[in-house]
Amino acid sequence: MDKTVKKQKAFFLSLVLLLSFYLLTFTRLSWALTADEVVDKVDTTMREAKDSVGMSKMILVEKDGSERVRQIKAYFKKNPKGDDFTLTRFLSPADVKGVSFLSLSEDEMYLYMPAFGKIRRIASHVKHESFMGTDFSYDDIGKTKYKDDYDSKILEETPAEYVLEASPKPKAEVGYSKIKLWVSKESWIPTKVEFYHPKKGSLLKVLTNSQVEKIQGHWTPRKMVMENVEDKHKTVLEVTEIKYDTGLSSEVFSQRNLKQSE
Amino acid sequence: MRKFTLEKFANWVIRFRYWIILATVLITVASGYSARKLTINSDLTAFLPRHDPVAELFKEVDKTFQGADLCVIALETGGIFDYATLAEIQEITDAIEKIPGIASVISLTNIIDIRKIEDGIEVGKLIDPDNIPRDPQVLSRLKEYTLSKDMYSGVIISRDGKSTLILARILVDADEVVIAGQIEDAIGKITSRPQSLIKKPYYAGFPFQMRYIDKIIKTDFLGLTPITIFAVMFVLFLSFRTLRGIFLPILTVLFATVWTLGLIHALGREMNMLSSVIPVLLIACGSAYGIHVVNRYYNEVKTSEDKIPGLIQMAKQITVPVFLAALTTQIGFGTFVYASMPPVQETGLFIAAGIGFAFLIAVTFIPASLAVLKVRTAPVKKPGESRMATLVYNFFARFSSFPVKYRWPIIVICIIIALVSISGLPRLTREVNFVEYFKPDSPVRVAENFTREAFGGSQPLLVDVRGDILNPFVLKEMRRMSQYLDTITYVCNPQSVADLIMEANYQLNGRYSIPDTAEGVSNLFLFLEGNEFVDLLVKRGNQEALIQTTLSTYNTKQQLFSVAELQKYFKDHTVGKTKVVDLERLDPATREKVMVNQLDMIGENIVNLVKATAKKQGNPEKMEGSSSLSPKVREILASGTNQPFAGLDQPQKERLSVSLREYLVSPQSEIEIKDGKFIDSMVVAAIGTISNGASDPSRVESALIPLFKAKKIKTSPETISSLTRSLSNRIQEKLNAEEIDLLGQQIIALLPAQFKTDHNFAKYLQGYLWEIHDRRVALPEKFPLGSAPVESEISALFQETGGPVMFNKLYPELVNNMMQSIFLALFLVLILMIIQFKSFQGGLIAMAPISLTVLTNFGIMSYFGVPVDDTTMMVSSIGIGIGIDYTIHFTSRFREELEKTQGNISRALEQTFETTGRAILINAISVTMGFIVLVFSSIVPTQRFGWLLALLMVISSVGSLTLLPALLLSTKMKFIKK
Repeated sequence: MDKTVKKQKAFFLSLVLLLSFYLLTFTRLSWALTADEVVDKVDTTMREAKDSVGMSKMILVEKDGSERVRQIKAYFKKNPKGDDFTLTRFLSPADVKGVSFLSLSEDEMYLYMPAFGKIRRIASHVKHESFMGTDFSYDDIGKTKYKDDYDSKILEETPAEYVLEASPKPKAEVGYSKIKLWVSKESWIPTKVEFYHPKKGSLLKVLTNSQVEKIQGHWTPRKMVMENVEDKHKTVLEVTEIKYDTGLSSEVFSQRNLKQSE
Repeated sequence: MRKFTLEKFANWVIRFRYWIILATVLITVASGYSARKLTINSDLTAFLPRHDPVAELFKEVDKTFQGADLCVIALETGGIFDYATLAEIQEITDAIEKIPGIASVISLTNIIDIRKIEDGIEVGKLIDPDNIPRDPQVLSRLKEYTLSKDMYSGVIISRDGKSTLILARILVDADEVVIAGQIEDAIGKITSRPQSLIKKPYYAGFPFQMRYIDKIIKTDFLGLTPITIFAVMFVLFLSFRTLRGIFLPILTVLFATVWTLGLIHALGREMNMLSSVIPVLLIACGSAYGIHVVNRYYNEVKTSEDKIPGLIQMAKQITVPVFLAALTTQIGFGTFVYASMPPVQETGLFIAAGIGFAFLIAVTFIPASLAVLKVRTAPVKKPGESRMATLVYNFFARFSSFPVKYRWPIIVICIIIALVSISGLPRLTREVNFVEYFKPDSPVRVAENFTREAFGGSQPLLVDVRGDILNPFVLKEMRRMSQYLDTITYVCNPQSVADLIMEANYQLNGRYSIPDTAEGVSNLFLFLEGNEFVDLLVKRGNQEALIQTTLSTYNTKQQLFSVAELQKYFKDHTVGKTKVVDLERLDPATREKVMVNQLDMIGENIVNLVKATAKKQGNPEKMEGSSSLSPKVREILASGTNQPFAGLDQPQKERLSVSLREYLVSPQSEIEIKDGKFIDSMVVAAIGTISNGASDPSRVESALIPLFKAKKIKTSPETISSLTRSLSNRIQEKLNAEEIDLLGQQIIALLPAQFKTDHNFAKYLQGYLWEIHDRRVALPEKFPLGSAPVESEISALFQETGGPVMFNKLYPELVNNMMQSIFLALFLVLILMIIQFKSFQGGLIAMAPISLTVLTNFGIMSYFGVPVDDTTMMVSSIGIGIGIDYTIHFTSRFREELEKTQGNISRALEQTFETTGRAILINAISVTMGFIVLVFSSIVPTQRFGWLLALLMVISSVGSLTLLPALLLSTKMKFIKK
């Protein structure tokens, strides 16, 4: 072959290489998400369904390893106009069966205690307290919109996940000084969340979401473990059954319905 | 045979002198290395007896409820309810929360507050930390509200609204002493600013106590030891005026001290409040051996030629008396081997070991060193050369005839002293309260005093409850005991999980009582779980709980009185063992019997409530005389349950209608009905079913069904029965509430005026009255029920514990331990003396000075109000051990001199006084100087211990020089001539 052909070939080859390099970098860039986008994805993934009805087993594990098991049924309905509606009902053990908790907003919560046959309104301004003896706070249970309260940045990206650090926005009322999330690129469900103490800044609680499955098209962690690192107390939540988008009516989230037994 | 051995020993010491010096130094270096790593145990529970059920329970409860981790900080201000003050409290709360080893902080500015609102409750912070009120009106309302709540008033805020508590819990694996220091620093930084409104922060609770103890152990240990060394060196300087005379005895005790401290660490023990005196005691007591050896050396060795034979002679003569002296001192300290408090036991044994070391070093290292050192020709050769020696010589020359001349007066005076001391014994007091160990101006005492004055109490008296805590009848039992505790004079603020459940019941259902069903309790508890206060009061998966109270006194007697009152309750009641019956399943006769018992119990609780309230109002005496209250209350209770139902009057019917209508139009109602007339007809029908003061759902149902049919309302039977249940419940509750209101008014009418305005009293009283309507009631285990069905049997273990209970246990033990150790010491020393003199009579005479010393000690303690505590209890036995040395040295020399003078008593006495008398005096002065240093200790019992022991040394040495020769002369000393 003569020299010019060789030169041309070399030129084309380098062009192809160059182009593919650009192409790769470009696509690479277009794949990478900003922290806000990741958090957005997390928020939407976790609130994708319009409503849900789930049965869970709640295990409270003491420091000494002793366990208490409760069955709960939880109804959820997205409220586009404000706070989401939730209704949590205890199914077992027998002495708390029927205790139900309806949350329409922070100021409007209702507690039904079958032992007294009465519904009591609860207005709570304390969101960082433990939810009924668990390691979840009222906030941990209710809050699924990280974007509203936190400013996030990406700490690390691996082929499988993003590691984010989220710090509370200046005026956000949150119970932590920062949180760290490990977000799966496949499901956009955080597989692990670290919560840091609001004052000391040290690690306080760790949430681990596992057995993430796609149910009715929605990614769902079937097992959630919240561990308090400080007092070594642990709450395990196992979702035994869950149905999405069942078209729950607002009637379900009424005081009248609160008294109904399952 | 013995002489031969001693001679061999002396030769051996001289032959291997270099090796002995080297070995001594090496052992000291090794021990010093080990001692460097000694740690301090500042935990007061270490003082509690081992393997003692009362102490074990105390320690267990302390561990379960993490009492050792709770910091209590009291802030004194000019008035809490002021923006700047609250802001400062908030700043302090924040600062503590930021400290890494802190688990949680409860303060006025972060405490959760539950308020009743219409149809429910409002949960929030008592004070919003982000929005502290500035408006004086808002602040004054906040003050009124906070002080009106029993949950806060006298608990987290003083009743005068001027002081507040901050409770901080330290993480289990954090170092309490370090964290306590960080808290003090953090708060100090805030309160030391010029604009601070906190008058003074006070630090109470275990971690701060431990921190203080840690500090004083270090200061005592590091501060008193050098002073003792200097004091003893000073005495040695005055006595011998030679370098070897000063340094050989002092090195002996220093080496022995280092060996002992090394041993303590090697055996894995720690220093504590008591053992911090080990160096001082060892230096003071142990210096005697060196003094006697050196004194003898100067007696025997005058010139270089004398050196080796003199040293051998010295060893032959001095080893046995020094050995005996050391042995008796070891006995004195060793008798604490049976003491119930571990630190007493350990300190005694370690000092005994140290004395052994001092002896060993004195009889090896000192002769070895002297053998190496050149003989100086200019030491105090003969008594009479130095001024001091002249004085001593003249004194003894004159004094030696004194016991001969005045032997009978001496004996009589001693007998009088003994009798006076004995007659003082009944006045002897005891002190077992650890808080009394600190100086009155110490931070621990000051904080204790302040919290006691501002919050009513500081030292916890507790009842530990084990069993199914959430069982309603265990809770009711806790409530009952709490109510009783509240009537005891010095007991303040009893609190338990029962109070929290009752408060939740009050907030949610309007009654301050424990529900009579497990479901009721569990429903309420679900709401409380995770609450920090609950966490302080219930542990082990709800299988263990505490009834917490504090005592408003730390006078030991008053504390013991409180414990005795509590124990009386345990004796009079079958606490924790009950059987539960369902009244509706009993035949009428049994039911009546059970009801009588139930009303008795309610009556007892109400009377106790009245007493406790009167105590809180500040005039308990007003209620004292009212023994008639109990039957009157009982009568009112009976009238409430026995009276036939008179029917409803119009206003009553009206109130019922309003209540039912309210329900039917609410969103809670099972069926949504908009027709007002129909609602009215339902209300009339439902009220019409009331019969004999009771409403029954089935009767309501049968009255309502026709109405629904007529109106053609289609609804499920379940909904109807749910609705009728709701209505029936509402009727019944309203009827009961009205009855209870009436009974409450009747009871309040019996009481002084201030009860009428006491809202808390009314709330608690109604809570008890609601129990009249309990369907399930508890009965004593032995209540005769015949064949009536028992629903369940309940067994829970209630045990009293806490500091005062521990003191109650230690109180008698202290004296037992002391007597045991004194008699053991006397007995062992007597045997030794009998062996030494080969005569029983001789043994007894040798014991006379020391017995007199012991009696005088008690005389002084009785007349000067020095209590027996865990330190002063050791004084007598130690006094015996050390004091007998003077007798041993004296008699041993006296026999020797008697032999030399061939039975010339006055010559022998003179010689003894001049030689050993001098050594005894130096010895006694040096030991006394050592002990007296302890009055500079930061620990009160150590101070007493120091001056008592110093005094005992003076008495026993004087006794040996007066009473002993007087007795020897009067008994003709047959045994001594043997």
